[in-house]
Amino acid sequence: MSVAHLPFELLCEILVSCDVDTLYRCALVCSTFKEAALPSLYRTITLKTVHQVGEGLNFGALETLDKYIHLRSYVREVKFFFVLSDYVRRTRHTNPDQKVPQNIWVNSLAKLLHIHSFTFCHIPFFSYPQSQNRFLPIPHELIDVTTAALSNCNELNELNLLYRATPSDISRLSHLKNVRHIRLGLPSREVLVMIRPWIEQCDSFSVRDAYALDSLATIRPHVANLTTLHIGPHHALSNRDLLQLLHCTSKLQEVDVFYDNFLNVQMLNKESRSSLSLKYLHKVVLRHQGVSNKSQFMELFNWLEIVILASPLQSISILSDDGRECNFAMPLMNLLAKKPQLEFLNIPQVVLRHPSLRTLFGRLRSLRVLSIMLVDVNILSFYSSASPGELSFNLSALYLRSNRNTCPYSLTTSQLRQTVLSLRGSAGYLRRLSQEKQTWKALWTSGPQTGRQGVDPLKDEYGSYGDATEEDGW
Amino acid sequence: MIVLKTSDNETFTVERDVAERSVLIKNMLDDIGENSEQAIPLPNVNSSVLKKVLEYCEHHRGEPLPAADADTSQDDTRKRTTDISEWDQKFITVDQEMLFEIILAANYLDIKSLLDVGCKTVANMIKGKTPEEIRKLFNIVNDFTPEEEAQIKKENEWAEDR
Repeated sequence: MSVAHLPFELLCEILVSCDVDTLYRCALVCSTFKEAALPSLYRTITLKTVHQVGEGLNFGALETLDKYIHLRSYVREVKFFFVLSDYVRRTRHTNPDQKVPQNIWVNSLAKLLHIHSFTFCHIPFFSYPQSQNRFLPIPHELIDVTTAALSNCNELNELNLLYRATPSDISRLSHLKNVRHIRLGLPSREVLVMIRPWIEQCDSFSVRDAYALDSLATIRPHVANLTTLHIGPHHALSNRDLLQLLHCTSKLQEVDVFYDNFLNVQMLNKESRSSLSLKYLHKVVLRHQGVSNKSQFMELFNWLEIVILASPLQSISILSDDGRECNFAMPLMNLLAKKPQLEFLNIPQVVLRHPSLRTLFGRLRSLRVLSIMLVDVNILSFYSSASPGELSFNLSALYLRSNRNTCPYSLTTSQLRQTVLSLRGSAGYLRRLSQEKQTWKALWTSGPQTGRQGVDPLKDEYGSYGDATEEDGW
Repeated sequence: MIVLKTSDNETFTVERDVAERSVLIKNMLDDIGENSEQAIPLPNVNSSVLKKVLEYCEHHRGEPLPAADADTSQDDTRKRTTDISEWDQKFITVDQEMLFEIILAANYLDIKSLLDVGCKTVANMIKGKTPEEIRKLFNIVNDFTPEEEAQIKKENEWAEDR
């Protein structure tokens, strides 16, 4: 009995959960593995020019799909990487005498009828910083031909425009009728205006850099149908504006907003509290900037309390965009204790001490994933002063980080082991994710080898603004 | 109580809710009715494998079964994650032969969660390995000529550097 005796469908089933690198290597193992790996490998394709090919855009993935027609139906996601340097070189060297077959690739793209998601973005060139790819446009003609190619693709419901889209791009792309999820990298005000009717039909809408969101009126009338809303930094909405925006939604399930202390106004009115109803909201990510002193944090907690009391939240992330730590953990813990059903809590900049950890593990008994910062290794002994049965520990993953010399990783490992042992009976598994001098990150999990490299439950919380990846800019 | 009969003619007596983790057995029971004393034949499963499978069913009894018409998008996320719970991880730590027997049995008996655990375990074994290491791991003979190998590399080059 070996893998060779498994029915082919089961081998495919196994390979479905593999990452691209693994799938690529599986294709080289033997012919059976190749046949089983290719459908999964071609699920997500990247369109990137192949450099050695002479003229005309040329994408390796599309060429292969033209050759193996049966693979076409497996393609679900397409990421178009625009290479500006390559484009410039090509247009400059085009010889008018020589007939170059332009854009043959578009015909190949048009034959992929099951695409769900299409992404336009830039590849960094020369010394241009990768994080600023979204400031660059993509030539209209490319948007045009791509839109035409995708027009028959009825299943396309997600569109990511992670480059500097223009209003005319939007009007071209709006021919794609079934799109329900839109992400914008850096929209101009005109683009936002252009896209508004489209937002109304959408389930999710995201803006990574919201410079153009300069007033509530810009989007408020258009968000009613959204289930997911993501507003990145640089918008001009105060804390009260954000609440008013939430007021206008009725189906919202996830919200991820940037909370800028600079814009805030005194809030504290009871009316906004009582009338807000977010029946479906289960996830909040709050990224704050400029929040540092006590009254500012109390204002933020106040905001959060209004949202917490209006919704059945299960997941909360409070992230400091400027790295400022929160030294007011107790008020936050008392607030969170009002949501005992919380399953996911990500507060990596909150300074926790014994009492706050005792509240955390005493009151939030449904927590499955927790991400916190340690300022001192001794706080891990918080359990020793608790009475039996007071604390519970049902986590399956615990992310820890520290940047203090009072909390070196070497000492943390043994202390954490003792803490976890006494709270849950078995030690679980701890592994270091990164370390540089005294700054480290580690992941504790209840089971071994959870293979979280590819599936990080915090991926969308961390990774996001700090180090935008080339792949999708999020 | 339900009686199950394996390919090597051994019989296992188990409680109904344990046996019904298997959609195949559940459907059979629905067909033959409540009061049958008859042993259910499982000609594709031998006793050592069934013992293991029943251990799994026993541990997971009472958990909600995945709906037959589960949302496909959720299905995708389920497939994309390679997480396995602590108990399952210990349970599935068996030799390769048994691992594949379990996968086959889970497929035949239609126990989706067990099939998942088995498949993810194999996926974790493959992860990060070179083609040669994968061949070695599973005793696979490379049936590609060097030319074919070069061609596959070329055709899928786009996937290599991202």
